[in-house]
Amino acid sequence: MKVPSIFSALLLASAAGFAALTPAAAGDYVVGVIVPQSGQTAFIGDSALKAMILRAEQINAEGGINGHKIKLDAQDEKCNPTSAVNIAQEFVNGSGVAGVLGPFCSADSIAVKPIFARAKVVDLTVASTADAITKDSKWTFQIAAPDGVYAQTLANYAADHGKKIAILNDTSAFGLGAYATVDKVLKQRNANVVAHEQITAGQADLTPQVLKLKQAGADFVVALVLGGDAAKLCLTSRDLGFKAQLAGQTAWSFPNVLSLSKGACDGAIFTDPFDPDKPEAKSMLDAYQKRWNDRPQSYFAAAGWDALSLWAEAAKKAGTAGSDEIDQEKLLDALDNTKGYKGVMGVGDATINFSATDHIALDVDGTHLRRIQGDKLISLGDEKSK
Amino acid sequence: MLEVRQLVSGYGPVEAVHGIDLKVAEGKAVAVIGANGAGKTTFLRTISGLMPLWSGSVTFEGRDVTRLSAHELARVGISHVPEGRKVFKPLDVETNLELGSYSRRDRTGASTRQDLERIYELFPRLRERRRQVTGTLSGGEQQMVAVGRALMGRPRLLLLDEPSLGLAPQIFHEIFAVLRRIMAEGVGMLIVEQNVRLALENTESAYVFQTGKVALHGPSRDLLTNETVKKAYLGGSI
Amino acid sequence: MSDFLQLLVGAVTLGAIYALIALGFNLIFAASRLMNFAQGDLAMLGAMVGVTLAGTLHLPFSLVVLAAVVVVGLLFLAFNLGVLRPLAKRNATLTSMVMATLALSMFLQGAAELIWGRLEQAVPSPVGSTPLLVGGIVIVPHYLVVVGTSAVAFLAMFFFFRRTLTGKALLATGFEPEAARLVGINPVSMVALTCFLGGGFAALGGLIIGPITFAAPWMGLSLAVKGFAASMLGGLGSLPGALLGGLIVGLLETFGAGYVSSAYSDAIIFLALMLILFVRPAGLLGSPLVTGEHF
Ligand SMILES: Nc1ncnc2c1ncn2[C@@H]1O[C@H](COP(=O)(O)OP(=O)(O)O)[C@@H](O)[C@H]1O
Ligand SMILES: [Mg+2]
Repeated sequence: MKVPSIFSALLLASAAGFAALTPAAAGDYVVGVIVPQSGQTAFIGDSALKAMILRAEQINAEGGINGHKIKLDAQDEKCNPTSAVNIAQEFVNGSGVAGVLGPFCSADSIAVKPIFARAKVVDLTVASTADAITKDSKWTFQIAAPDGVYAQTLANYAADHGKKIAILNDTSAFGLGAYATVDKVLKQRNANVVAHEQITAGQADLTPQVLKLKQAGADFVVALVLGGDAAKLCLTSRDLGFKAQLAGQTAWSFPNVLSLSKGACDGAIFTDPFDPDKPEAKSMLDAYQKRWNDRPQSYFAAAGWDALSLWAEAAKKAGTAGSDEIDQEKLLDALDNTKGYKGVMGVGDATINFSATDHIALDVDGTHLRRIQGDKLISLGDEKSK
Repeated sequence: MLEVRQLVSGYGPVEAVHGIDLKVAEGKAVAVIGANGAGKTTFLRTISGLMPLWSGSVTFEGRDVTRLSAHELARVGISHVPEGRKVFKPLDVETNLELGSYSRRDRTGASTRQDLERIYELFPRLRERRRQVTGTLSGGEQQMVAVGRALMGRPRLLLLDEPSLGLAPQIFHEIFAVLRRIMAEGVGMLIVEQNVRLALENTESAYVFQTGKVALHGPSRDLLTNETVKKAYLGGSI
Repeated sequence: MSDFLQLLVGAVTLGAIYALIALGFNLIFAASRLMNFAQGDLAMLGAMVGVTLAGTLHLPFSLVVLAAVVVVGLLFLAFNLGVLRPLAKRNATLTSMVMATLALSMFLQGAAELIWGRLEQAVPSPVGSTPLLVGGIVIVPHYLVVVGTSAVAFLAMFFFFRRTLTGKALLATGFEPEAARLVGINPVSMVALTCFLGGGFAALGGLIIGPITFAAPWMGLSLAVKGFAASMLGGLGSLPGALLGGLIVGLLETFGAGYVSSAYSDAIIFLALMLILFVRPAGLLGSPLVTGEHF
């Protein structure tokens, strides 16, 4: 049962009363967070913000950074570029922030990029997956895996497991970009691609495309479609008795798709940068459970956790004990030298490494596939061992 | 029954009729003649409420109807057969006629049937063509539809704008024969006509319009023999 | 063959929706010669009413249909009285009034995003979701609701225009506005009536396609584009034209994707539209008598 977002926002606000969201005292490091907190997209920010609050409380309890406590200043980006830009401007022009985490929605992250670049402020985007997030600015980092990485992961998995592979993409920038990647990988790997179909995002009826995939005898569909289209694909496939393995991007596991598809996406697999069973994830989830009496399923909490942790590591090097401001050039330098960081995000032994030319936290090794099963998201490894 | 006082009207900033006084006595027929562009159409359209009246007044059967808009005027008992007929071309003949009864508050299925019968009796050709799309009729037949449609509103005053325009003589004579029958029943008429002889022969009195003003008026019989009218409009030919 | 029939099911369902959108579009056009570019967003609003009343409040579907039609119909009627009429009184051109409908379209989209959010939401169907199998063809029960609703709407409108004087008066207003006034038809109330009906039919279309496509603030655009294409194809202002045009667009979209190329199904629709307009500028069933008079 999903708690209406307004209530979760209130809950968070009241929780913040005794957490890291309390008004900044002199000498606190203020970290600005640009995060969706209201409306339909609140689910994106909800668990991430809770994880950040928890992480900030831990760091503060251990004495803070260089003697400074972390204070989070979370503002609602509403998954709307205009709101995000306003918040970014406020962070840049106002009393100043020691760091910025977010935005979460890709369009918002792209919209604020020039503001932080101009102001020379480091921005760690949390859940934005567009490929363009870190392009053309040395000030922006990407904690979530980009769509291109997901596409590669999907393609590799398809090549390993599909005998007759079909590709379905929408004709948006996302769909076309992901298709180019998938197509390239599958060709390199000499995979047997039996069909390629396209839809217009938001298309009313997917019958023609699904029928063609079925005719082609596909047993594995790399489905580069999002949101309602993903749900429609699941529903239409079920109705038409098309039983191939459907595989999509991480957004397939979000509550909106799960509720729209009414169970039809059961059994579908999706790319994910999160493995709840790896030790770092387990300890984060335990702490989260204790603090919030809740267990997040998607990767957002992990992304929020890692974003704040990465910032804190770098701030330790860039800050000085005397000042509550952090030299952003030094912060950038410290982040660029992040090597071998074992995060909550990522799977297996994957580590997060940045450099002056690479601000993307995760690559193909850091992502894997999980399966939608009822209202649970399970790792494929789990399933195999059963 | 109709009294127009000092009617002024025009297009945009341009005044086209400049203070017209005109009367139609109860059940009588009045002709308005004049050269092209004299303001006859403008005058009729202003009375009907199709154009805004700048100043002056219009009373009908003692009631001030100056400010009524066109659809309200139709309900008062004035029917206007517009210049160029303006029939509903894509609809069939009978539907055109039926729509003529739209203004009648006391309309019933039976009264409409009865009125239709009467129109078909007046214009037997329309009965033959009742299911035909009006746009495919000849000009004369379309004019019959336009007149029939106006009559379906059971008007007490009929305004006609150039009913004979572009029609063969035998057709407009047929139409005028019908108009005379209607007049005989006591329906008043205000007829704008470029066929001056036809107009004067079928009316009691007449007004001659010249550049938006009344140049001359009097009994139609007198105007038929008036030298000026003869020279200007009758040309001695017809 | 069975694939052909399977595609046909989807095509007819889509066609029925596009026909409903085109119907509202044509109604408004018939009386006022106004092209209402907010038609798709009025449909979106109908779907959103469904999200709230059927999805959240669980009201019975018949009540939801009534509410969507009345609420959205009244909304567009209010737009007519509050915006279009005052514009007309200030001698605005038809073009600027069309622009006003475009502004309404953007406003509705923004407002819907504020109220309902940007992500798709489910619109409940009045019937179950277990597909029926008819001779190997899969029919989702809701598809029958769509086709049935559309058929009833068209039958009602055919009756309205063929059998009632008000319906005929409405057509007359479009053909000869002045002559219509001269027989006592108040054009203002005729246009108001079509605005109500046009808004209502759009809402009906949006509400019944909602369970298939989901409801989202941006769903109106593609409905408007397809509905407009249907209207042009069949003949602007024509009632049977809306039905024929809607079905053709549905067939082109589905069979274009099924047999030609899924990437170009929209392009195929507009190619066909251009070809047909080239041969018959007034559309398949549009009367040249009508269009010639007004353009
Ligand atoms: N739509 C119009 N716009 C501007 N001027 C017009 C219009 N119609 C008529 N006029 C002008 O108004 C005057 C009267 O025209 P009209 O009433 O049509 O004359 P008539 O019917 O006697 O031929 C003429 O000078 C004509 O040019
Ligand atoms: Mg004239």
